[in-house]
Amino acid sequence: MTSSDRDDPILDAFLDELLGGHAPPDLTARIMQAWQAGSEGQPIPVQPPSPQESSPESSLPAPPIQSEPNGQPPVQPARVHRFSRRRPRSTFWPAVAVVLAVVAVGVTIGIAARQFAGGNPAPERLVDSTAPRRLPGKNVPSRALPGEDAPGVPRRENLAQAPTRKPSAASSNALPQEDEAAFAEQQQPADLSPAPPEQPGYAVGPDPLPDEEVLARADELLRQSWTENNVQPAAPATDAEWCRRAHVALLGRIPTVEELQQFVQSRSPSKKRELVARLQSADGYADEFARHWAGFWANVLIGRTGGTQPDGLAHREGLLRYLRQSLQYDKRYDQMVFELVSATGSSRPGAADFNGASNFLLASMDEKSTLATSRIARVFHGRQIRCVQCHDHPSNEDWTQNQFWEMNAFLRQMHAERDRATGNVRLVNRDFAGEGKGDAKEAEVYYEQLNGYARAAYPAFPGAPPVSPSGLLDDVDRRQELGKILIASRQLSRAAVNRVWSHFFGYGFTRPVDDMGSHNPASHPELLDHLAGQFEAGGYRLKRLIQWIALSDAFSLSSKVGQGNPADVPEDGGVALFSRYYTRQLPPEAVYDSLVVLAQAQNSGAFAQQDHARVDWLGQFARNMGTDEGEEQSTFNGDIRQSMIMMTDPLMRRAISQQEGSLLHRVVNSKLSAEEKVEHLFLAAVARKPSSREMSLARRMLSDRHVDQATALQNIWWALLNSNEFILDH
Amino acid sequence: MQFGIPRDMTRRHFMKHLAAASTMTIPALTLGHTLRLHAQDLRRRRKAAILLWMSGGPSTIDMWDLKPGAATGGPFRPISTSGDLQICEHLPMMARQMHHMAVIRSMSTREADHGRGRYYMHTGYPPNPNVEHPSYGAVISHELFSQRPELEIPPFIAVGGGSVGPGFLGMAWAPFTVNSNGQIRDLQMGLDDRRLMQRMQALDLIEKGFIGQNRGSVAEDHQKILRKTLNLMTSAQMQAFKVAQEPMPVQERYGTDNFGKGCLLARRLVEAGVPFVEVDFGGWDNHQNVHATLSDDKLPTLDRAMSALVEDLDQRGLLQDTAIIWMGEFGRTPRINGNAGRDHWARAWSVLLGGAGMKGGIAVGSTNADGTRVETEPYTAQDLMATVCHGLGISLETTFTSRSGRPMKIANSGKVIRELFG
Repeated sequence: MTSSDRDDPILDAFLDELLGGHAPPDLTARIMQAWQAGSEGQPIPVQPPSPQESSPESSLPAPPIQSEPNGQPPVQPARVHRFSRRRPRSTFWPAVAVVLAVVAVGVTIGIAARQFAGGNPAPERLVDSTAPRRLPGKNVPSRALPGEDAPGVPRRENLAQAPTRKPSAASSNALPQEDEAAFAEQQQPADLSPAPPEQPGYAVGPDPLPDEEVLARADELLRQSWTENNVQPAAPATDAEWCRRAHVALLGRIPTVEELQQFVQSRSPSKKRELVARLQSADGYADEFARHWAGFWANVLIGRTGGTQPDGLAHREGLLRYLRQSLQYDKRYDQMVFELVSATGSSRPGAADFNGASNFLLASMDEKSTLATSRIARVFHGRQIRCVQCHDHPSNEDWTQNQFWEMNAFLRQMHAERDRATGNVRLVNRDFAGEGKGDAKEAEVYYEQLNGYARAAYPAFPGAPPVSPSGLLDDVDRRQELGKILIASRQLSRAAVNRVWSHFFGYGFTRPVDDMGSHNPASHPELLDHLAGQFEAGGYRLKRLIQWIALSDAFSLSSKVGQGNPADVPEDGGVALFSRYYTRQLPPEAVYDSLVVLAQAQNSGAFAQQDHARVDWLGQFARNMGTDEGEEQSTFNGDIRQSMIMMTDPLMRRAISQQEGSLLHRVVNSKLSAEEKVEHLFLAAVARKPSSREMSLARRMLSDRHVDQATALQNIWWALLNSNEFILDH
Repeated sequence: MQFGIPRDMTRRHFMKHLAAASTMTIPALTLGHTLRLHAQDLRRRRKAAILLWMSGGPSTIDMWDLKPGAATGGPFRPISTSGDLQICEHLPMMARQMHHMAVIRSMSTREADHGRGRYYMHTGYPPNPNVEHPSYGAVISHELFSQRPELEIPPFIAVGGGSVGPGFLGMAWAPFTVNSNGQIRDLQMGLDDRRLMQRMQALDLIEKGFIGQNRGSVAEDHQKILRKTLNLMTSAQMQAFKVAQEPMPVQERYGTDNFGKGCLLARRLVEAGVPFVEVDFGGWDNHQNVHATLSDDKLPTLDRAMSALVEDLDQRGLLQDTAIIWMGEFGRTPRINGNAGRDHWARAWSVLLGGAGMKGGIAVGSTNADGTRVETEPYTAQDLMATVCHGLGISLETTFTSRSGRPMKIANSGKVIRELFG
């Protein structure tokens, strides 16, 4: 113990209070496992069943055909698959083609019938008695989804597509069999068939390609864009640099020295692929991977502050638990979206009908579900429609005010029920009688136009076939209908790819990443379409999408601005060309989780209490703006306040302390030579060895007679953890 | 040898401050003295601005531009003020200060969405995906900073958060966010000189090495901010944040709620030489029960704190050099909706300006009988910003260059509201 630890006892006392005292080392994995087993009520499957036995597609019932415009939706809507123009794998595909054709005819009849019916005029809620009587705004679904299929090109009309089971509280809670199947399906050996002929456009969606071809095509498209923009890509990043950023992107923390060395020293030609696979699925990593991505999606879905208010409706941990389970088994992304949009059940783990997915909408509740409306469009389709809530807006040509409210009408059967005694909150559906005096078979919402007249809207979505106007649950579960429509759209995969890409690079193909549309065209439309098409064709597997992006050329480039790409400076407002890796601050979650590893703080305190400490820590940097749009502001932006918090932060101090178990303590007390110790600290913090100048300064510090070796090492460690190189992803 | 300490400070100076920081509880005496000196300086030449930001979009038709008798007017009655205009009956203390403030009743803007409105009103530019514009605080502190070479605390302080960033001016002009209690952690490394020197030397070498690799401007920004942080955390000027040091009667006059404390903190900071302070006051997004919310909650709080601020600045001789801006993202619909609330309305609404040589006690412009339209020359966020800059003596010819090299005129070439001058 040196004099340098003077103030540590106080600090430790504080941390003990914060983190709940010490616990036997490294229980995390066991706690995770125990908790999962407990919450699922069944052991975690080690070996997924074989794909042939359980692939959901292979055991589908024939899809019911929607023949009446106002007909009830099928209780168990079946998944309909796109016709594959290339190498049918089984007799299933021709069958699907037939089914698709039948559905298309059915839908067309439906549309026609709807058009002729013209919609029943609804009673106008008069705001002004002189107002002319208006027909309710029924959207004629002849328009293609904005920015998508051109008219005249065959469009997918497989809107009956939906998960094969009616999702319920129970189904999302228990580990679904389907997930195992899904997981198994993903493990199929790579398809080695020859490459398909290139297909211009994606009117019908592409055929699925094997990973190698997806990657090759993505790299090729990116190279083309570099040529077109007259930039040369940066040199490749070093193995260590790549390893650090891959850990940050996939696990949300920097690598340990052991992980770094294992990767750098590996001679395997496919070591990057192996590392990505390991970080996604290997024992000891799968949990961490799921935890990181659950946090990512929770931030996307409900922001950093959503579900953190003790008296709020939503429960963040409930959502995180749902997301972790879904991500760990690589649940289809479209299924997740459907579940999030249509969920019912209790928000908190422990309740009998717990369904963590309900927290997405519970965090978005307001009186008229307007926040939920704009959030669903923004999060799942990358559409900013909140501007058109009040009137048609020049900045959004793709959506009208009427369409906003038609989408909103899907969300009016849902209610939050709070049990005053237990505090438990449930998301439930109730019959919606409409806002007028009419009957619930024609349940409308009203909105006010700029001219002051109220207008009625019924559930409808641009480009989608009509939905029953009934508000009765016996007739239609409107949120399930919305879920089906959302996941049948090609915009689902485009928005997801754009978002995941931006997670890896700091910039997406549009800026902002969730404002896509004709007013804000994508920077790399072909690349986006390619990845989105393959994401969709491959069954919406997030793990594969993550793998493609992690293994792309763009992700392997150095962050140094080179001679060939001085113009690629999105930091200054330009278009991101991805000709280098963009240096940027680590997200706050990654800083926290990295410090926890360096401080070995995960070994103290129970898992739940640590989560609490983590939430508190992150809460310092996020603030809800308290407006009806649910906006929030992140103050983890490299300003003075952040810098100040970081310097005085108890966790940072703990990481710098020589407390038993901390990395510094282990290094100081190791048998390494003094210079090896310095080297180890550099590798741990910034994934490289010290430069010669740095080493010579270190030598001088170590030989200072007034400072003992442990203190000198601590000073070096302090400098490393407070440096730009540590806190920046590069 | 260069150390990672702020440029304009000698090492000795830095250490002295470090020492001061570690015994922060004792030197209140000397500190009060420093603050008084600053206040005297300020009276002579320093300009400053305080933005009272009403997050959510306040219902200005119920506050500053009442329409009694109109169908859209709502229940509030107007009262006379010390100026040549009437305001809402629920703002009696402000009524006694209105000779210092002008109401601009002819604001007419286009952004009726919170995020866009906040950005637009703070920067004078509508949001643009390709360029981030600097906000009021960044622009004004950037322009006024040269008047204060000895200022160690950040020149742009946002109390309660919610402001807009520095855009292309860079992180050095970012708002420094504090809560209304002025709580900031102190730097208490408790280190001797030698250890501190070692740390700074090592840090400096690592930071510079990384910057030298040309991996983007963010690496250099980090170093700049780090220096400012060290400077701040060791500064005796940090005492300006300690609102609790004010006498109780003063604290009570402002109000002990967050907004009251925030206004008091703003005054202390301006006194200490900070050129721009923004105080956030949320809760104005009243889509429901707007009038009950205003009369029972928002207006009494606003009335007490804002009137205290105006009065206090005036009494201390600071008001003539300190601009006060009161505004939100937009106003609210004259039409009262089905939930007894008002929705977003940007076409016709009001803001308040005062201090820094701007004429008080007047209403500029007017709206039509039901408050839906502006009838006189409409004013925009740009005009407002230009007016404030003019009042603060900042040249409207000032031009910034965005990071992509585009020239950007200060206040987006807005026009000065002439009625407020001469």
